[in-house]
Amino acid sequence: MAGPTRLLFQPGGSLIHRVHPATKLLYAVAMTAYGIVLDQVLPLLALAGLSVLVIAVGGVFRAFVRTTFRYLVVLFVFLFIIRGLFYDPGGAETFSVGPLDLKPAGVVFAVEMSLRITAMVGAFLAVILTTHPADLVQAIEQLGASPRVGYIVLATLQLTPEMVDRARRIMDAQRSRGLRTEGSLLIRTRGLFPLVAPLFYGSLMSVEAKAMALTARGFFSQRKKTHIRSLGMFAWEPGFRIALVALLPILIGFRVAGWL
Amino acid sequence: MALELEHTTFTYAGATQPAITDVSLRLEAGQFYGIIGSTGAGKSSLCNLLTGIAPHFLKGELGGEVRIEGVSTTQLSMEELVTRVGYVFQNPFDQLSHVTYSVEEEVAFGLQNLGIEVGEIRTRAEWALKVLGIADLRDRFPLDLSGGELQRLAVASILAMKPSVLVLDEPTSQLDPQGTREVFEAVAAMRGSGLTVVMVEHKIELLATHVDELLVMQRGRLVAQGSPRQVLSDPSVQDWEIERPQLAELALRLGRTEAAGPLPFGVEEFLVAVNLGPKDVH
Amino acid sequence: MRGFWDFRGGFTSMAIVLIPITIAINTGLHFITVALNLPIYLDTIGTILAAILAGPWVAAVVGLLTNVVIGLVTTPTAIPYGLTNAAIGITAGALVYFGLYRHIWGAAVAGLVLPLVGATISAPITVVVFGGASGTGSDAVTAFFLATGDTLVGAVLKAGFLVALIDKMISSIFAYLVAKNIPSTYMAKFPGVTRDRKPAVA
Repeated sequence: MAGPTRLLFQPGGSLIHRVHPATKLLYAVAMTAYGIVLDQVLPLLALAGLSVLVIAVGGVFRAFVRTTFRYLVVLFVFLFIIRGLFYDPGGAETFSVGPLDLKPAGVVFAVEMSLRITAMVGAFLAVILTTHPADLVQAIEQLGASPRVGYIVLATLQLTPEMVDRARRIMDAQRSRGLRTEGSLLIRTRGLFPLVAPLFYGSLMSVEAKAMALTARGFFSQRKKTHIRSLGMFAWEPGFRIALVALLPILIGFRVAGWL
Repeated sequence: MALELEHTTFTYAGATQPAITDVSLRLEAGQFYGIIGSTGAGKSSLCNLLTGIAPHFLKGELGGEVRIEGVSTTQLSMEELVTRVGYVFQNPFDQLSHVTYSVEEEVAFGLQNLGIEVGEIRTRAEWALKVLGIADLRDRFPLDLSGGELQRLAVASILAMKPSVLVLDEPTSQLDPQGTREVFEAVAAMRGSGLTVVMVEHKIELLATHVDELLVMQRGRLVAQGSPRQVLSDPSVQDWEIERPQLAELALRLGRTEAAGPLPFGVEEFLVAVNLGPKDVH
Repeated sequence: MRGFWDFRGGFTSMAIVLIPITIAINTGLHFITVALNLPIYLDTIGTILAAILAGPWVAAVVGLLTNVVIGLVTTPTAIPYGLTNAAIGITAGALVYFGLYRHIWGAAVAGLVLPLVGATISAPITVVVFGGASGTGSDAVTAFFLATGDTLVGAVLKAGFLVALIDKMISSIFAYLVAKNIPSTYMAKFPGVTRDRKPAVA
C-alpha cells in the first residue's frame, strides 16, 4: 500500500488547496464558533451549506461523503429517533405520522443539531482533505507549537496504518494456520490476544531505539528549527483572517438582539 | 586523533555488571575500523560510548574518559555531539523519523532540527543521496523502500549532518544479502574521503576485506586491535569467541605457514596461499 | 522520582516516542475490531499501557489524540469523546500509581473503575454535544432505557456503562498481560510513576 494513499489528504490544485494552512485552520475554528452561536434552522442551514460549498470548491466532496458523511448520517438517524420519538422534555404535543408519534420540538432539535454538526465537521474536513499533514504541522509549528507536538501528530498518522497492516498480516497468516478469528465474542477476543500481543510488545520495545535515533538526529536539540516545505499565501488572506474573527462578535450581537 | 578511549568502564543504570571494562583505544582520522566479537561482547555499548549516546541518552556510570577530537563526550551537549559523530543503528525501520513523506525530506529532517538554512539543506541532501546511490529515490515515500534502500537512507540522513566520524552498529543485520551488499558497498566507497568510519559487523569476511583495522571485543574488553590479517591469523582467535572467514580458516587448517604469504580472504588469495597458483605473484 | 501531579516531567524523549506508538495500538485495535465485527473496540489498551509506562498525563494525551485520529479518519463524532479517553488515561494513571496493575485481580478491579469514569464523562458529552445520540451501538440501549421511562441523562449513563464495562474489563486485563512481559530494567527508562516507587507491574 503506497504511503500517500493512506492519507485523508487529497492532492489537488484547487483554491482551497492553495490557501495557507493557518488560514484554513482559523476558518474551521471560526465555523465551529459560529455553529455554537447560531441556533435557528435557517442560519444553521446557511452555515452547513457554506461548509459543504467550501468542500465542493476544494474538489473533495466525494472524499467527504466517503470518509465521514456516512457516519454522520448514522448519528443523525439515532438523534432523530431518540429526540423525535422517545425523549420529551416539556411534555409538549405530539403528532402522528403513520404509526409514529413524533414530538415536534424534538424533531426541530434533531434537525438543528444535524446541521450544526455538518457545518463544524465539514469545516474541519475541508482543512484535512485539502492540506498535506506535513504542511499543517509546519504551520502549527510556525505559530509556536513545540516540534514535539508536530512529531506526535505526524508519527501517529504514519504508525497507525503501519500497525493495522501488520496486525492484518499476522491475522491472515494465523487464520491460514487454522487459528479462529470467527465465532462468539469471547472466542474472537481470546483469539485476538495471542495474535496482536507480540506485535504490541514489540512496538513498545522499539521505543528506545526510536528515541535514540531521534536523539542522534538532533530532534531534542533546543535550536530553532528550519523548514524545507514552503507554504504559500494569497494577498487577501490576512484580511480574510480578520474578517473571520470579526464576524463572531457580529453574530453574537445579532443573536443577542434577537435578529437571528 | 578522531576518537580516544582511556581506561573506560561503563555500567548501565540498573545493571550489576559493567558492559565495558577498562577499554583504551585510539582511532585515527580518515581510517575505516571494524569491530567484531560474539553476542554480548560489548560492541553496541562501545558504539554508544563513541557517539556519546552513553551516557547522554543511555544513563549509567562512566569511568575513565571518551574523547572526540580531544574533547570529552561528557563536556559536549548532544547537539554538539551529533555534528561530530554520526550514529547509524541496526533496524532501518526504527531509524525513520516517521514524520516525513519523501526520501529527500527524511534526509532533511536532522538538518532542520539543527536549524540549518534551507538552501544548504537541499545541497547537502542532494550530495548525501548521491553518495549513497539513492538520488533517484528522492521523491519516494520512505515506508515504501526496501530494507537495503531504507538503511542507505538512514546512512545518508546521518552523513548529511556532516559528522567527522561515522559509527555504524550492525547496519546490515536485518537485511537480505542484496541489501547487505548495497549498504556495504556504499559505506566502503566512503573510505578515503577523510571520514572516519567505525562499523560493527557480524559478517567478518565482508569486514576483513574493507577495513584498515579490526578491533576484537570480548566480554566488555578490547582483546585485540590491528590489521585484519594480523588479527585473524592470531592463534588465540578461538579464545576470543570469533570465527575466521572460511577461506582463511581453511588455509590455516591446510597447514599454510606464515612464510607462505598473507592470510587469504578471497578466492584468488586463497589459491596463492595454498600453492595452487604461482607463489611468486606476491 | 517525580510525583503524580508533575505534568511536564512525564514528557521525556521516551514518552514522546511512546505516545504515537500507543495511539497506533489504540487506533489499530479500533479498526481491527471494527473489521472483525466485534461489538467492542478495545481502543483503550494503548492508553492503559501509556499510563503504566509513562504516568497519567502522557496517558491523557494518548486517550485524547486516539479519538482525534479515529475522528479524522472515519467517525468525526468520536472527537468529543476524546475527553472521556483523556479522563480514562488519568484514571488509569491513578490506578497504576496505587499499584493496581501489579496483579491480574487489580487489573480486573481497574476494569470496573475505568468504565464508571468513562460513562460519567461520556454521558454529558452525548447529551450536550449531540443531544442524546452518539452514533454508536449504545444508542439502541439508550433508546431502550428511555422507552422504559428513564430520564435522558440516566439512560445515556446506564447505556454507556453497560457497553463500556465489557470493553474496559477486557482492555485492562489485556494491557496488564502485555505490560507484565516488559523487563523492569526497560520499564525504568520510562517516566512512569507509582506511590511506593516500585515497578508499576510485577
